[in-house]
Amino acid sequence: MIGYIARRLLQAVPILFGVAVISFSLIHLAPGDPIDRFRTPTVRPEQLEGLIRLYGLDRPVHEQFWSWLSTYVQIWRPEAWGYSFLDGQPVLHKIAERLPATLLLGGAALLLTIAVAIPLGILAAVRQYSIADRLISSLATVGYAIPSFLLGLYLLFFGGVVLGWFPLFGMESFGREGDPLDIGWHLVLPVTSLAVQQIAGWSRYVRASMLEVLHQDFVRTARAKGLPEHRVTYRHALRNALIPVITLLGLTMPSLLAGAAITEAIFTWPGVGLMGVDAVAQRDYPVVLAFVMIGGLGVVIGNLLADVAYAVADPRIKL
Amino acid sequence: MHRRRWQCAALAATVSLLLSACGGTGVSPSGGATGSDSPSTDPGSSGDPGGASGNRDSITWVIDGQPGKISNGADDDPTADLAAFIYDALHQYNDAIESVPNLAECEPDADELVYTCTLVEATFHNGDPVTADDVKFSYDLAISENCTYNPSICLAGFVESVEVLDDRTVEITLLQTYSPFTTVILPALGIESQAVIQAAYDEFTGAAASLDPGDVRAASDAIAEPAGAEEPDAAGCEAALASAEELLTQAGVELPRREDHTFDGAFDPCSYGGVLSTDLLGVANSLEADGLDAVAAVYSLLPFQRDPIGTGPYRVAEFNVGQSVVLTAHEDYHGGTPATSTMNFVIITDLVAAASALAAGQVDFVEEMTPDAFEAVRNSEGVKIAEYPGFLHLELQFNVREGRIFSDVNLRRAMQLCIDKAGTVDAATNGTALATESETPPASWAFNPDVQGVERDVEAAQALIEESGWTLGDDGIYEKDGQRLEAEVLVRAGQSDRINFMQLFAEQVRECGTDITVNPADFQTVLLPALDRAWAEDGFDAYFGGWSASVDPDPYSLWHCDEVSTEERPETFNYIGYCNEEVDQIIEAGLATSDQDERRELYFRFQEILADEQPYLFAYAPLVRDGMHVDMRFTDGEFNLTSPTWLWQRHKIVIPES
Amino acid sequence: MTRLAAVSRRTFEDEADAEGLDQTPVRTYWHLARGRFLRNRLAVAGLVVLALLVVGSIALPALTGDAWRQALLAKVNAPPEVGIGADGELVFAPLGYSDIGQNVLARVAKATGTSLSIGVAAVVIIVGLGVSIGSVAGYFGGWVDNLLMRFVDIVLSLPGLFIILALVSFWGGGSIWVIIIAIGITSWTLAARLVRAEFLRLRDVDYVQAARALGASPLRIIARHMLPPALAPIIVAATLGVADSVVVEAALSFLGFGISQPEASLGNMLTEAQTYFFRNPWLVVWPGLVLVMVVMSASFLGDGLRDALDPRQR
Repeated sequence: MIGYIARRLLQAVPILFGVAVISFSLIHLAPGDPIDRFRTPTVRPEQLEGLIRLYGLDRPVHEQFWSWLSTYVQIWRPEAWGYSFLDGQPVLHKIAERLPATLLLGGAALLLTIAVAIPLGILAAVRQYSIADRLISSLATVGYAIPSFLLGLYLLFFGGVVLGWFPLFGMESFGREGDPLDIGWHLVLPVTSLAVQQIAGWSRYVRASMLEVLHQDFVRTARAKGLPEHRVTYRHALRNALIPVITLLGLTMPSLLAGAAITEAIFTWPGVGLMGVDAVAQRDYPVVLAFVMIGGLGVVIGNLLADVAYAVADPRIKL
Repeated sequence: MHRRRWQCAALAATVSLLLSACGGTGVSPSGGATGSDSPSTDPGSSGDPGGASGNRDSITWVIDGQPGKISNGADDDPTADLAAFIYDALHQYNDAIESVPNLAECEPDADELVYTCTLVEATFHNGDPVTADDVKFSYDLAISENCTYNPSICLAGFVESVEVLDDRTVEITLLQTYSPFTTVILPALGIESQAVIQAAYDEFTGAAASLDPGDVRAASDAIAEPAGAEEPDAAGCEAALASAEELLTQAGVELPRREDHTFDGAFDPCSYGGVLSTDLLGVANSLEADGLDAVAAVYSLLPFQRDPIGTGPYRVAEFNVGQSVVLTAHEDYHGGTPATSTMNFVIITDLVAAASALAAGQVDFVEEMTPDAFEAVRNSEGVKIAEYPGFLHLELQFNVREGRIFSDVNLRRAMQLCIDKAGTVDAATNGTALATESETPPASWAFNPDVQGVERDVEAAQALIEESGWTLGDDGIYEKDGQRLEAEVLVRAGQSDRINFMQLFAEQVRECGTDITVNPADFQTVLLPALDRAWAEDGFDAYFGGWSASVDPDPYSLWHCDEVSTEERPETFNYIGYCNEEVDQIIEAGLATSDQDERRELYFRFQEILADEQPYLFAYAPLVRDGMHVDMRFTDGEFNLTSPTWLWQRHKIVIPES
Repeated sequence: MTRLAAVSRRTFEDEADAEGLDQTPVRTYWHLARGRFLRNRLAVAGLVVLALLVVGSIALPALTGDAWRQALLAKVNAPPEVGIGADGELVFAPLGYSDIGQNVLARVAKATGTSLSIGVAAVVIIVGLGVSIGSVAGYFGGWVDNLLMRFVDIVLSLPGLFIILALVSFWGGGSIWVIIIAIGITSWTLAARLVRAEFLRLRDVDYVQAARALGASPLRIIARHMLPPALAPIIVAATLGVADSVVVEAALSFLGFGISQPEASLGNMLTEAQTYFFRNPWLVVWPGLVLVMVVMSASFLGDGLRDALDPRQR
């Protein structure tokens, strides 16, 4: 097992390297140089000179890249990811500050997805062609077709503005910081808007996977042995049906992170996604770079976790 | 002192600090350091001491950033907000934005060169009385060539001398007549205690006495040289840092933060060194200079700024970096004991969060709310709103140079007649702005209420166009010599209010046979270069944008013939090329007198001329909204919530206990 | 993501038992496919809705001229009206007028047209890149395949929407072309994977091997013998790609990075509508409705096409 994980980790290195190359190019090929924004009356020429030199306009690109990358991997140093152009804070510090909010949002959405989609999928499969099945399938189709930013916008209007049941922005009310009830109340709308599309996708997948298993020999055998139906369904079939679902986990995590950027922007959720969108608008390059790198890491870690979980869950896979 | 008008749009993109200043409340950056007026009074009508019974003993204000140097060196909004509670200037603004007496009453002589200022009885926070010497001292620091105040109140080249006539009287002599001295400098330059600054300075000299100015200058040069070279030499800078830091530390000067000079993870010794070098230069200048010039050179480096001593109604009690500043009442305030004993300033950078805290009753004041923030409080019963057109004004600016399509005054007047301005503004801004007919804020004493807009009259407009020889073409658009009556209007992309206005405008003038294309463009890469090429063959015809006006109504930089932009001077603000002899005379006369009535008359005429000639088709001034506790008031009456300077008697602010 | 999983899983399953079927005569194949497609009611409905949207987005602006752009002060937030105006012109505003007096239906139609054009143009890039990279990887296999698939992994690891945001913001200034290219160069991975999988399978099929033995150039083999049978998944991916691209563009413009007023886009209409929600709540509904219709009908159409073109799929 450890060998397998080590091997997978090793495979992740070139991918992360590639992500680094691409994000570095994204910034460095952007028109205008990154210091344009500093050309204001309040910045002294010598500071500009310093910046120009630091952005290495005088150095070959590959040298710039290596020096950037070698600093970048030293994440134990607070300054390794540079400083935000906007407020001069170390980028790593800003991310560390905001990552928990994003993880909370994404984690809650994932939990909700699992908690809702799996029972729905199973129900639809077990009662194939029933009214419940049709209802679930239709809802899934509609849910899947509503882009999450649109859903977020509508939820904000109806839940927040029209009904006034939920807060319009942020994660905490002023003066109630750290109160879990208050945070939960703020979570409702953004989590729903993130989770609906995932629930739709997952429930379809679970249904298909469950149907496949239900038609397999061992289930028939179990039935033939005279085991009670619920035992057949929930003990034998379910376990096997859920194994492929694990793969979804790895795919869902990064898409939640990417989706979080827009959801956070709509609900002013104080996470890394909102910070990333703001950074793009303000051309805060160090923060933009950081968000891309975090995104890449998220995908790699998500895939790794899914693969490992898959290997653990499915006895047929030999490590 | 040059009058500066900032193109807000330019700044909004770059200097976030000034962003809120561009929003328009209080004073534009040229208005000086104080974010709005200084506190206080007409002596005598002091708020009743102790604030009577039934008033809360503390009020909580939101500031949106960490305050910096609370002194005449203040250069950002949160600091200026605080400074307004702590310092007094000789004059202050009342809620009509007039410069009225505060610590002193200053009267110019007939030639407007010599101002005689008579001080009231007042004491500093440390108990010392305010004397004529303190006033002279504060002004002398501004007059010095080495002035390190906020640049907008440095006076070298404007003021010749400040003389103490007696303990209560000073005489300030200008080098030439300059009316903004009354409207901008007198209410902005805070009076500080000579003894306090001198003590801080003595501490500095005590520490720095052993230093040889030659060494200091050498250390400064040692950095400036490698840093300023064509190819900055990091190793050279690095090598020079240690001795520079040591010298500054010896002089008792706080070092800049290294993390402010670290980019992409790499510390830049030349950038950091640049600041050290400037500071060292200040120290060296100070060591080499005598008397006040020596103090002025290091003023901004002195450590008194965290514990400022002023004459204002409040003094600093606590300074919690990153969180709050607590002010307590200055019992001996010259306008009477402040009615509320404690003023808390909490730092909340997110204005929406601040506004919802206001709605929840957790704070009592949030200034310059964004539309989002306003939404959070608009239906809240516990909140009242100050709403006033700010100093920002937006308008359609025509390039009136010879040969340009809008050089014809008939066409410009026709454009004005073609639109229903009030309706257009209301629709375009969703009711968040006031339609305007001049650049002068309605609350200003210089605002001419008789300059009124015109009713929409398409026929009259068409008559004007036809008078200039245009004939209506088949497509419903006028033509002359084979040229269609068409023009492109540049507007800043992403600013939906402005684009909305121009779209509504374009459809209305189409009915007058004019084809206007709205072209939203990026400000930095397209608009600014286009404005700088206004003089050229391919220059723009019309631009929809705006300016943040100054407190002083002087229109020199936008409208004087000498400021018309040219190939040699492309960046002047009169890029539309407006030049009118009568206007020039008015501008010059307006600068030569500080008599407010006389100036008012001049600027009234000026506004009439502009309204008649329409070089700008003035559109609207966005409303600024400050939110506050619904019961907040002065001890002797309600605020004038439609004035940008409604908050002018800070010692009388109370919130009655409910 | 789920969609990716579903589609690619199918192709992997198919690899085992795929030989032979594709030599069926082409005419019969398309004939059968059409029959299968027409029997799928949802897919046909999807096609009809999409076709209506396309026709509407072309016809309405053509009928109403500049109405989508014209901001008429007299019509600010005005109620619906249909009829002949005073000057004899057709007035067709069954959805009323916007906060600045623009004909909402005309504007929605124009925005739909813009969005669909962006979607289609982006899909051209997506298919172009996906087919080139996928076919090279699938045809040559070995280290070429390995290299290209690692590249695909890298692109998949990027936070896609965010990269598009950054590309458009840094390069764009609201240019439609930058938006199209940004979407195109970040979204081709699914198409590439599908094509590759088909090619890996077809590589060992008899007639391809025969062509190779006869000395046909790789380009010819790819273009003549391998691409046509791989068309089915490409068409499906393209259909879904249009819907995805439309959503991405809407999200971009909604956040203020994409198409700006006075041009019309479903996303910037939503942004505008947000400000005026209390005055005119319907403004939020129409662009959103179109967006959902595009996505849903494209997804029905895609499913239907897959079932029709690829009968091995259940």
